[in-house]
Amino acid sequence: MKKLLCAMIALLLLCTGCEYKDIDRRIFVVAIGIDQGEREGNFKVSLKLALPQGDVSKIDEKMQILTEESTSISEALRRMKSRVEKELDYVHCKSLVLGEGLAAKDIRHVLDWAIRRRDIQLILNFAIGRPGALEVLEIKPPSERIPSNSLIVAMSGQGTESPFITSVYAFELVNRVYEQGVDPVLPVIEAKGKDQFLIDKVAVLDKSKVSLVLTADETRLFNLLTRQDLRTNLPARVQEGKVQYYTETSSSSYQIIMRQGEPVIRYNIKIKGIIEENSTLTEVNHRMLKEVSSSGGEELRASVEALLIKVQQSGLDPFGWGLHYCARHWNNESELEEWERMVPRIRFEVMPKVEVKYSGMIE
Amino acid sequence: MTQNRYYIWLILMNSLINIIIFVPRELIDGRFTGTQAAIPLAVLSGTLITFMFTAVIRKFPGKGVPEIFAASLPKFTVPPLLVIFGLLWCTAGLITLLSFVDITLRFISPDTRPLIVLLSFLVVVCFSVRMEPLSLLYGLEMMLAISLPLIVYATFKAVVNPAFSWDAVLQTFTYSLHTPNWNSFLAATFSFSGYINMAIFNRLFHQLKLKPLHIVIVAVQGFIILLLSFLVPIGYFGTIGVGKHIYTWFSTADSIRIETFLIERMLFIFYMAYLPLSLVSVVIHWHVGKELLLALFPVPKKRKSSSVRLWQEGFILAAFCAAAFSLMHLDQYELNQFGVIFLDVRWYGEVALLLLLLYCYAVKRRRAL
Repeated sequence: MKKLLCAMIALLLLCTGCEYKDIDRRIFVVAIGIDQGEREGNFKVSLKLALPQGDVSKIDEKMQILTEESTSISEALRRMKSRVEKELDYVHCKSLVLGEGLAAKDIRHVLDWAIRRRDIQLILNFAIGRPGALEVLEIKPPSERIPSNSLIVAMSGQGTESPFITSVYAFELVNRVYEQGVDPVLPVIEAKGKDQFLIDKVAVLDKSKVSLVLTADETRLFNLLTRQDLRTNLPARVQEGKVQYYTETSSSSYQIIMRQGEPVIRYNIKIKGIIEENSTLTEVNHRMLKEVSSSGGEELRASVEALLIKVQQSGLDPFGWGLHYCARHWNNESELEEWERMVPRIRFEVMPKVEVKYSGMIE
Repeated sequence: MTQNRYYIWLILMNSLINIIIFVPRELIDGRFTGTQAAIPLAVLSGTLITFMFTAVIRKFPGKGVPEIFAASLPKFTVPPLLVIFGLLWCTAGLITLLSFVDITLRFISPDTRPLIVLLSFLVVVCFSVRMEPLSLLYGLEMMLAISLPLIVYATFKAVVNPAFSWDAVLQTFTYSLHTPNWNSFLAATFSFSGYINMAIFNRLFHQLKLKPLHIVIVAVQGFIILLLSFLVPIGYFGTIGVGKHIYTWFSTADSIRIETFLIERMLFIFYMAYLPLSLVSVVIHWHVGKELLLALFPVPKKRKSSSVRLWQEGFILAAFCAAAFSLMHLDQYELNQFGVIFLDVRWYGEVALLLLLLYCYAVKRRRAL
């Protein structure tokens, strides 16, 4: 009895190996790009493949880009399988770039595909590629040693702490696409030649397609309003010159209040800063620190208000004001309509509290 | 002579396993139609039933349900009752098992054949089911010691994530005024069903005492776990998008990134935490089911008793495994439906068992007079 049992277990152990493919029979897809096809309704799918290499010290970036056009994404992927000798593995795919043309039409099909596929992570970074997804995938910065690493690191915010980059994961995008009272946003990656990219804009979508692209300055303010501790420089004007201060900590919150029946959104922005650049060439003293704080706050108020009004006039809601309002009202049937009627009448109050505390290493 | 804490572990196990057994799906399906009100009700009724069941089974120290039934109920009613309850426990294990096989195939190894996965789980489960009940409780404690910190870590990471949408959570709160949803209520009471395993494990407890503290622990852990399993996915996928996910909690774990660790995806840690826990829960449920059904067979004479018992147990387990294999053909919706029906039937079963035990106690009292 015991022997039989042991023999059976031994046989079972043999069994597990049969469907496993070793790493040298796999090829890893690190980024997917999806563009509109040449023909109407087609998809042009591009895959950036990383070739696994053994010795890390002698590593030499090896990558390959496959492009295939087909009527559906899955079909294109299957067709690409017969163009490489190894099994395509999507488990390590970290970014999905949508072509600008596709993003201007409808992203929901691609999003549905990415969420539905079981081997694609929900912490996949989504972005819009300009002029197209393929061009973005083809970028190979000289500083890059692992294929597509620069794109991954930049998009997820692990490497550069650029204040202009908004990272959006697949689960956030799918949340916002279906949620009422908040609209999805996506970062825009621009290809500058073959070895540089620029990520400094954010696109706001009306649930399905891009309908507003913020400028770099607006994107920075957008990040300031939606993120904790944004590391950036902000301008302040004192006397005749300009001063730039660096934000060591920042936080922002808002409330929706009704004042005499009129909706007011009040933003409280708190920033602690340090002077980084001073063009006045005068010595900084305590009085000037105060002046920098107050004029910096003024400048911030003006630019944030301009951004908020621009967003309000576009009719979009990347900040989730609608959801915020609904979450604090109990008339679930009518609250959203009520909010939508109110949107054009909203007034904004921006209350920046900038405290520049240090003058840097010199006075 | 088993200590009281094992009783709490049994309850905690059921509470934690609820995310495998379709409870969050049921809760989330009712998010606009009364889950919020159903949860406190489930906590109340769950705690009450737990308390009553434990209070009544305490009166039969060291005895399991088969012995209690045999002593107090008419002869002809005992076998059908044991079969019904045995099948109920078998189904509880089955659903956890099938659901976990499905999760493994979807999230961890899509290339493996389903039957291989099921077979390897069944081998582990069948060997463990035959262990001594006391060893099972020790094993349960060990597995909880391994899994619980990981689950707490995953939940903590989930809630402190800046991408967690508190507005969506508040928005679901504003739907609280709806009348309680019966399906959500039935699903939510599953969190408290751990006590029901005492039907067999009571054989090990001779001096089970329920202090008020225990009741508070039962109520509080159930309430917290239910709230988390209902609200955390909503914070990630939004009030509307959350309805689109099948294994809501595994998708949620897939959405958490760990920046500073060897593994970047929380999914694997979460899976590793739930793998031992769900297998232990299957083992415990099947152990109870097996013991209930075993009482139907004649007790063997002393000689060669172990081999006869072995064949009897083997027969029952083979039947359980056959059920598992035959249910593998269910598609996603059928499995879900099966799980939901089980969640509903289970509650009525629990209430019936409680009433039967109360009746048995009354019989015992009358005889003692």
